[in-house]
Amino acid sequence: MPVSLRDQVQAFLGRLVRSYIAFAVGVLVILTVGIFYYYERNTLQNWKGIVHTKLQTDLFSLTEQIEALSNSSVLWTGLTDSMGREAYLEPLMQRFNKRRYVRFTVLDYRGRPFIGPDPVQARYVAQSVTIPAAVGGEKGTSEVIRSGSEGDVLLLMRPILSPQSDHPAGYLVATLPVSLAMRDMGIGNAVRIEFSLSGRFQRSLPPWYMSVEMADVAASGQTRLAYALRLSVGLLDGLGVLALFLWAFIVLGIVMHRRIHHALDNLLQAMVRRLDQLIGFSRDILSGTSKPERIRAIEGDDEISPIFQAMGTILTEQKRTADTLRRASRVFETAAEAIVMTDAGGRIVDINPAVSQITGYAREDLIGKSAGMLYRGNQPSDMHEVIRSSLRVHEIWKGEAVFLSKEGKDIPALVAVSRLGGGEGSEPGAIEGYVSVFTDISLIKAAQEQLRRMAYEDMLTGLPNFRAFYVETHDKLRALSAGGGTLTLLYADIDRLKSINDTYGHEAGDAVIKQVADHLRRLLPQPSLLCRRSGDEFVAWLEAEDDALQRIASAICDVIVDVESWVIPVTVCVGAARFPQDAKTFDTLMFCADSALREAKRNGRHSYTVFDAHLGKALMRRRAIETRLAYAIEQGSIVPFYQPEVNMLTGAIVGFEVLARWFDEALGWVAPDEFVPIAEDMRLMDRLSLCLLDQVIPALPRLRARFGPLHTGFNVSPQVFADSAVIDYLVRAERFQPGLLHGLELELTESDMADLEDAVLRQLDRLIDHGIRIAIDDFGKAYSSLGRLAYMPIHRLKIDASFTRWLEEGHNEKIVRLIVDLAKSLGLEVTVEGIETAAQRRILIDCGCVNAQGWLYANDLRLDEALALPVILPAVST
Amino acid sequence: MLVATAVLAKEPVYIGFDGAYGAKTNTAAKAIEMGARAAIDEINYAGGVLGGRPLELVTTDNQGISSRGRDNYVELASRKDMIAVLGGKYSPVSVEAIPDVQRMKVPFISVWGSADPITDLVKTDSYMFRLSLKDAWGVEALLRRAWRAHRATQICVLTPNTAWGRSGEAVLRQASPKIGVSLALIRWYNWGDTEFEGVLLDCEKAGAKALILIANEREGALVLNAMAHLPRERRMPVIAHWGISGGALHTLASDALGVIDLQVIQTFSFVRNPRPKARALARKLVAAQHLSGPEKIVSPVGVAHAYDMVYLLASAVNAARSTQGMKIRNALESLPPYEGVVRRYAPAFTPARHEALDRQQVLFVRMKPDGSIVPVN
Repeated sequence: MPVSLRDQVQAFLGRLVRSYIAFAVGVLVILTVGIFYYYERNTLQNWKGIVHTKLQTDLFSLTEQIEALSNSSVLWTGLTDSMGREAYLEPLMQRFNKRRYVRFTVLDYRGRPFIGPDPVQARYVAQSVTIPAAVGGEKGTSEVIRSGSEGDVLLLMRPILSPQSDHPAGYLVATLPVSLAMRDMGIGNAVRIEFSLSGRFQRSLPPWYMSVEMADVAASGQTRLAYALRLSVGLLDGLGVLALFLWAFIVLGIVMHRRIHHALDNLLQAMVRRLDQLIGFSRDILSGTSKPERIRAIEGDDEISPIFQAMGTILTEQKRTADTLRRASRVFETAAEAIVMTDAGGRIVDINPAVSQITGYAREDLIGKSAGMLYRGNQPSDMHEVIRSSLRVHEIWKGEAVFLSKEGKDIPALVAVSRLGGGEGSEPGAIEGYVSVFTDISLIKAAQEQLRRMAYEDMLTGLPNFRAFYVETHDKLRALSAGGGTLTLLYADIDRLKSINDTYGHEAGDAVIKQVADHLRRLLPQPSLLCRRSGDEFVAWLEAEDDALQRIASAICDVIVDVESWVIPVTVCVGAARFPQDAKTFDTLMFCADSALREAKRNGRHSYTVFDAHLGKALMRRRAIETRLAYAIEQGSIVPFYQPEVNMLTGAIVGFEVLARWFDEALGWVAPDEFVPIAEDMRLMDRLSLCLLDQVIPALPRLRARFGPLHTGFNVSPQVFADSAVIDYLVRAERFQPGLLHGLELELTESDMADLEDAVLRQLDRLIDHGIRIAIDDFGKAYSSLGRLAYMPIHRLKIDASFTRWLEEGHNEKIVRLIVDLAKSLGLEVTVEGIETAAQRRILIDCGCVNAQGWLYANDLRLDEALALPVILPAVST
Repeated sequence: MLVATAVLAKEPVYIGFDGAYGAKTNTAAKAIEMGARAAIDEINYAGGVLGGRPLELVTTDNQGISSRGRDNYVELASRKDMIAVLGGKYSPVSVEAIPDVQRMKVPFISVWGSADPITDLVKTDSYMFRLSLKDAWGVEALLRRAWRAHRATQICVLTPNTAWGRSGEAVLRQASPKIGVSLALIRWYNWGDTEFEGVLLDCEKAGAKALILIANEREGALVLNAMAHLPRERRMPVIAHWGISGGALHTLASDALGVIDLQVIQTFSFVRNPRPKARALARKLVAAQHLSGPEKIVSPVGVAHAYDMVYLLASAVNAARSTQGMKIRNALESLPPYEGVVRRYAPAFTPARHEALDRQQVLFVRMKPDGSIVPVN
């Protein structure tokens, strides 16, 4: 397993330090033990002499005293005495017991304490084995008692014999705790003091004990004591001290080890840090991330610093070279451009992967071959010469060329050929080879073509687009203006493409557009130009006389489109305008054609209109309306007129419909049919509605005051709901004065209603909540979805005047009846519009209709005229 | 014989005696035993006690050692049917036994000891009795004797360092002013002391005209011998307590007895005693021991005291009809009057008085070198 240098050094030095410390601690321990041993030995020797002398003295004096006391007549007397003997015995004993440690006591004839043993001595006596044996006899005893805390105690006993008796009157006992007395001289507790009378000691000493012994005899009178004393020290007894030293050494050792280890670690870390820095420094240089301040930071005065500098220089240089090479190699390898290296003779030496990608040749196919095989053969022959001379002069040539792929496909390419000079030390002017860089520009070329086509072509139909058409038609018109000649501009529009898209899908819609385009292309005679303007609109010019034009236009209107399995009948409306009679510029020509197309559309689908003077006039009026409408709304020139709605049975006025009327000084009366669509186009409907509501709302209370409860219809366009201005206005008005809007009915056409989005329906609900009602205007006029009525938030159906118009001829009666029944079953009120004759009235009443409006009762009137109406309105007889 | 046989067949009633038999020169113990046995023999011969049970004496030896005496009392009192224990010559031994006597409730009757505490120490419910000399009046009698016999006003006292000695000293100090003598010198000694020459010189120097000697035969002999060694004119008359009469003084100081004026206090003497019982007992003892006369009866007070006491005990046990200690004690305290050897006991004891003798019994005797004891005229 690889071990880091640092770890190795650390392990080695760690071992070294540990060994040293262990050795030092060991030496200290041995020295301590040795000193301890020597010291104890000396101590023992020193004590021996002193102890011996002291012991001799003590024992001599003890034997003297026991002899004297045991023969004392005071003691004999005391033993025969009774009450009061303490008076003289105790002082006597005290006198003898004055010396420290030596104690005398008197036992009676049976060995029982007679006088004054202190507790310690009583214990000694109790421990004695010789006293019980000697009691009764006349002999003294001596023994050594071993006491736990006092050590060896010498106990002597002597019988007290009085002259008047043969038997001992009692016994005298003397005790001397020898160990204690000896120790009292200052011998430490470590020294064990043992005393023996037999010369033998109870315990032999373990080998780790050091001892000195002395033996002697103490004699006095009849007493003769042969004794021995032993002083011993257990080396292990000093174990506590020794252990303390050992602990201290070991702790010292551990602390030293820690400190040295720590210092060592720091040193190693510092060294390793420098090495790490060197490595990091080198790595940084090689990776290119070295920073000057970093290099400065790691420079120092140590031995590593010169290495830093040398390494820095070497590595920087090496890095620079390597970088260059790597970059070059990477450019070579990854370049999108094909790079071909040839020798001086034009043989391919090396290629990069891009060459293979572009040409399809494998590397092996090309190496060693002539570079010429890559070039297309039929290039201008002088091209090689041009390249060669350019290389000679400029050492480089750039230009476009065409290459051949392996499959023989043309590859347009941008080529840069440069001559490779000899390397350092080679002859000047020597040619080593060439490097050719090819950029495949086939995509660019294709994109250029695509762009060109996109600019002038409709991608769906392949027809020119309007831009191309515009440019060309412009030129054509300029030519015709100069040279004379006519031209007709057709403007065609596929009817209801939106519903086709919705019904069949956009792909079908696109197919329809394509087929209509083909249809148009087929029908148009040459010379002509057709383009798709946008979506469902096509524009074309042709040179055709009016007759031909009529024929072509009508043919255009009918197309059968076959999309997949569907056969879709498609109709086209066409508007035509002629140059120069209708317009002289492209724009006006377009406008006229467009107007004609609109006219055609107004005339119904599947029709064509050629622009004429009448159309021009209508166009003029429309222009005028457009310019004045906003102003008129602003000025309040558009005013509400009120057409009464009458209960046909009673003649009572039950409501009004508000109709906008605009009188313009220049245009005269402008009908709502005229300005409302324009207002819608100009997105002025909300402003128009607000303008009218400003006038209608104040009138509502007056009308109600005059005619009682009634409803007032107000036409709104779905556009009004595009923003919430009108609805907010109404909500505000109702909040401002609750009940103000009572009876107001917003009238929407059926188709408008059908197109309303959910959001608008929700807004209508909001208005309904505020008491406003909804009526369907012109019901039955447009495509009807009776089924939807049930789900719509409506209160009234207003049957379109067209039903009324033909009632007398017997038409529509059933339909009206059906509508009325339907409305009744849905709980809707019904108003019939456009009633004009009494006959109609009769029929309508028959059909179940009650309310109606129309000329039969009244035309639309100004507010004051309306207010002047009688409450019961007689039908005007016609 | 028939009666005696019958008596012996029955369970005996015991009387104990603890005496200092082992004290070498002591004669009191044997004298007491002799007196006791004489009485017991007579009583048993007469049919015993408690309807025919024999009396039996049990003796122990205290050697004069207090703790031995105490142990002996306990041993004797522990015996079944032990009705009383008699105490002998050494007063301290008797005093030492007091706590055990009171504890074991077997009456202890001192028939020799004179120390006051023997009967004085226990004030109530005492089981301690005495049929003997009491220091309270005996020692006072010594002082009076010194004055009357020798007209001595300055008196030297030698007294042992024991309870006996202290009891005597107390009496001396109390009585001397009353009598009109002064104690020139009181000198204490211990048993075993041998040097008394100095003491005698001190007494002389102190101006003493008589020596009151409170001692037993051993120390008494030493003092007397020392005195005898003095020139005749310097020898003091000696008035002695009776301790010396309890031992073989004449063997220790026979020479001295011949030259010294020694009077010894006694409570009784067989010599010239008019009491019939005393004369009868003397005759019996003289005959039994083959003596030359009643003056040769050793330690006569011991014999007489013990003899009387046994009779008193026999009377008490019969009265108590029990050997139980308390009943014996009670019986002793309520005995009928009795004509004994020593005196007429009328009665011997009462609950308030456990002393059977009084100062009327005091008499002084001379002790002759041949051992005879003869009352002073």
